[in-house]
Amino acid sequence: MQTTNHPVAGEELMAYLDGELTRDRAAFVEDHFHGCLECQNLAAELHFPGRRLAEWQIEEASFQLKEPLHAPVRPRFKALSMRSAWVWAPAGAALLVGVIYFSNTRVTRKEYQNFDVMDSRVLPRLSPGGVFDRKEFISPPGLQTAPDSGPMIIRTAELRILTRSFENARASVQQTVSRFSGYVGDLTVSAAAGAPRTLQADLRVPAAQLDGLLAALRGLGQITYESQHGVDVTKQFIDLNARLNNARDTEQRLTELLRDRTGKLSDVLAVEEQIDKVRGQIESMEAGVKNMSNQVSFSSVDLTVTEEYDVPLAQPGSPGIGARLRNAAVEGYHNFTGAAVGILSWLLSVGPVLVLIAAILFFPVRLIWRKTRPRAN
Amino acid sequence: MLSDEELMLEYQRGSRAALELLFSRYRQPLYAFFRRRLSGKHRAEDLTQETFVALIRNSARYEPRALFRTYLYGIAMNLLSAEHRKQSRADELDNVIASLEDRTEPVLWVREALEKLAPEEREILMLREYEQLSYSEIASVLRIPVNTVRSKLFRSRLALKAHLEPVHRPTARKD
Repeated sequence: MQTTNHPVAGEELMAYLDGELTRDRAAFVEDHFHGCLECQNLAAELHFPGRRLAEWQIEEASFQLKEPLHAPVRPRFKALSMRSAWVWAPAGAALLVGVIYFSNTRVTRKEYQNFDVMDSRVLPRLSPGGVFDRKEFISPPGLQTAPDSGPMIIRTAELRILTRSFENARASVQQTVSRFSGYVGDLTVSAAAGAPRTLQADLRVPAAQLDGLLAALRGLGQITYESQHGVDVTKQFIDLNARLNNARDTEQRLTELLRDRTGKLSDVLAVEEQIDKVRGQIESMEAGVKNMSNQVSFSSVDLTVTEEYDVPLAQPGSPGIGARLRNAAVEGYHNFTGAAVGILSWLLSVGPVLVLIAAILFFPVRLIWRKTRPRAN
Repeated sequence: MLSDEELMLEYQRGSRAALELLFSRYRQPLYAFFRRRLSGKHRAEDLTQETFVALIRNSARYEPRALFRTYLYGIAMNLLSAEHRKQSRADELDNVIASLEDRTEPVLWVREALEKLAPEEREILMLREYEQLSYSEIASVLRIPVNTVRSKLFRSRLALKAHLEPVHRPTARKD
């Protein structure tokens, strides 16, 4: 570190080495520098980082300036006006005609600015993993795109039907779904005693057949509830596919890196870990794409068929009147004995305590009573 | 040979060749500028292109009051700042890949040593050592006084030497 009475400060020496001093000052510093060991040592220290920084070389850039990038076009007045002798003969009229002509044909800045060079159609903007003169970019196999016929809609419906002939309805559900190229996902039939039978089914049918299936199911009985829903998942589908694309691209780059580079074990492990992570993301997204595609391709119908049920006068299995009276008498006897036993139990549990308290309080209470009771005349 | 400023004025007058010549002169320096400050060569290519696009869009307003190089790096610095602000988690994986790609021994030490510097000092040092801008150009690009550039550059050089020096010392260990 330089001393404070040194004629050249460290920063000034640095500026001299960088060629940033004025000529006079640079000459002074140079004279001093050649005879000062301290400054020479400092100069070596200041040069050292530069030599190390130079080790960080960057590979050659090979991309080209993208088309089109129009320059503002302006007429070259000098080039057009001076070469030909016909521009000046006759001098006044021709010059006037030429000026009017060039003014009308001039492409103005406004016309140029209508061509927006930042438009992604002109200069494709890259997103991470996108394409820019990269020969290795290949659209991954199996990329599913939104169908050209329109948006991707997940359609669902709910239908509740009341029917007199439950067995026929149950058989019809299976046949109807098959007729429309669908299938029964889940089916549950419940038949509790004294309650109407109920069928609940989750039906899946090609989206194009949904309306036909619903029309056929309506014929099974009386409709008590019906609803339909449609969810547009086009954007989510496209986004998911784009992310899947990027992830596959990243996986490919990592795999190439692992294959082509050799290095420390820790680096190899780090890359393998990243590959595992990306593979997990890819599989998750592929499952998401598949699931979404399935939901769009096959609409679902939540169907409930309930039997129209007449409650009988006498409930099957229920007891007669005599039996019910006997049951009531027996229940009364049970209640009586239960109460008596309860009272007796209570007395037995608290009785001794009450006797003890009475014994303790008997004499004091008696004394007080004798003193306070009115004496008979 | 025309200077950068003359080429820019030629471009303003309608010479597309002038722009292409400017591009050929500054493609590599700008690419290296972004490449050293970002992870991932593709983003560096993007931003190099965007710098020239910004140059074209503002070409009507260009006046040769300062060096063209200063003007160009000023645009590049603005784009770099915007890029840092919007750097998202999605780039994390790209950063891993890029850092692994760059992991040759000398580059690793240099990058790590640079990371230890304060951000402004690091930027001043890199603009001087890599882009070879003068003190006044650095001051103009970063919008700070020239004296600040000088003092911070001095400090950053000595600090970088201190960070690098333990690696530089020869050891008795054989490879």
